[in-house]
Amino acid sequence: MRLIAYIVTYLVVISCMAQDSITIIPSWGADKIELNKACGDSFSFSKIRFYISNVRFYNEEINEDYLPKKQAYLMDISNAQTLKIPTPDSFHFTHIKFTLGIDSTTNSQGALSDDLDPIHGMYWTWQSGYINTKIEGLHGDEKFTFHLGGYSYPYNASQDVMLSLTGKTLAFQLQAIGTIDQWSIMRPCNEAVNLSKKIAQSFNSK
Amino acid sequence: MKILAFLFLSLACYFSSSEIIGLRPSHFPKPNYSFNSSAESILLGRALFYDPLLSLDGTISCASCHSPYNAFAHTDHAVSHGIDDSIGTRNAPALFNLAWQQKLMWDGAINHIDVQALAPIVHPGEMGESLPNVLSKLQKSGIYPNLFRAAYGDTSINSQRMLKALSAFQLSLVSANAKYDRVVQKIDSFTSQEKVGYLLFKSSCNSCHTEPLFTNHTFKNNGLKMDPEIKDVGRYAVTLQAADSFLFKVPSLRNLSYTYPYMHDGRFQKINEVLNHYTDGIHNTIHLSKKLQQRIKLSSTEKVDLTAFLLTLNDQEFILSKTNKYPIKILNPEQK
Repeated sequence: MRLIAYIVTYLVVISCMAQDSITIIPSWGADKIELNKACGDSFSFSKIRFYISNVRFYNEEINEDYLPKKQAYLMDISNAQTLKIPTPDSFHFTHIKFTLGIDSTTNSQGALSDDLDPIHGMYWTWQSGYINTKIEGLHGDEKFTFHLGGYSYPYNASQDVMLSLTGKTLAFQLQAIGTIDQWSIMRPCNEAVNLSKKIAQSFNSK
Repeated sequence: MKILAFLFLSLACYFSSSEIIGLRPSHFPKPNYSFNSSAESILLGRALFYDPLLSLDGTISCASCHSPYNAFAHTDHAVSHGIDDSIGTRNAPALFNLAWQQKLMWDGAINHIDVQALAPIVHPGEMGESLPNVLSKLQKSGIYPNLFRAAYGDTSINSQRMLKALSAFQLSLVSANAKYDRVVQKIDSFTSQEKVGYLLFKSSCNSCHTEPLFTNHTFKNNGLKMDPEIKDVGRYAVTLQAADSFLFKVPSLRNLSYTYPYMHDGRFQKINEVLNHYTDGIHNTIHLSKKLQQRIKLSSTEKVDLTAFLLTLNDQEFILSKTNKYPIKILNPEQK
């Protein structure tokens, strides 16, 4: 009986290990960000949550691609499991394409479920729309709160990202928040679009 | 013979199926939302709509501000009231023919009927609740697991199911049986005064309050002076586009006798005050609707005739409909 339990456990562990994935690592320069620990020029983060959606892996050489069934991943730095995008293990990809945030079509489809359930606190209620990225923390003693979203012109904040893959991790660089001159963005607006562009452009593959 | 019986049964099922509920009236355009909800999900939505459980302290339901007797508007208050006697800034709009609307709220802040209910549920001055809390109350309640099972096949309660049930009920609120509708369908006719009023309506009002829904679903500035205390900038607050400043949704004129007071802030009590506003009270700013830049001229007799026509838009059957009312057997089974 015990033997069977061991075998089952072994098989489960093996199958979990075999599940390949790409991991997103919120970073500050070369360093991985850890919640409530100082990084950079006296920044610390208390919350980092964001949507990665419309993922497409592809291999340019053999002209094949793979689209995960899941439409959107809600990633949360406080739960490492959420930072992974599963990939099939038998496939070698050269590139990844995804949207940082939620596109306008999805934003207009009414009540959705799973990671897109409004219960996760990533949906504005006073005005329809997903919050693509929530970044909160402290700069010195000053609080910063960035709730970046907006799905319609001219404040469409979701950003398409395309990267060539050189490893199994993508660094999501957040230093850009130190380059803007306001500490609170909480609605669709020009500043939300600009900051979204900056952080989307700073993804890199390792 | 068996085949015939089978055919007959399938036909009977088809015609009695709940898809018939809220079927598009023949003189209405194609709706933006489909009417394919089951009777069970409409009933679930109706229970939710009338249940104060949705609010933090159990005192406010959707129907507190959207009463069936007022075509789902509210006549006591110029602007909405919420928990702890809080007072809002806008007049609760009437709820009917929502399937033809696209953007909801006076400023169009909500882009789909499914997500509309989120706004009042979590607004601190309305129901003041949180979505996880509402769902947990529904899960613990004695009635909802069964209603969810009837609507969705199992007792699982989640936000998508709850919101879609609320949509199903609200989309079923179709008002299309006013005298006007019967005249269009050629089963009734206008009086001579109503006929005169109809012509006046077509020349002075129809460009925004367009037949047969009596709104063109756009946002306009209709020359109201801004309330200096509320300072409501209208659709600008949603889009941040200067051209949207002080624009509000054109409301339907249907059921207007039941839905006073009028305007986004409920400033006018009587139809006559509204007509006087359009003829003599327009506040001219750069935001004013083009259609109102030339003054609307109506004599006092013409106003009476126009009003006679407008009263043909009242749908009494709609406000008295038993299937729209408080579901007493579900929410209060002990009361007789």
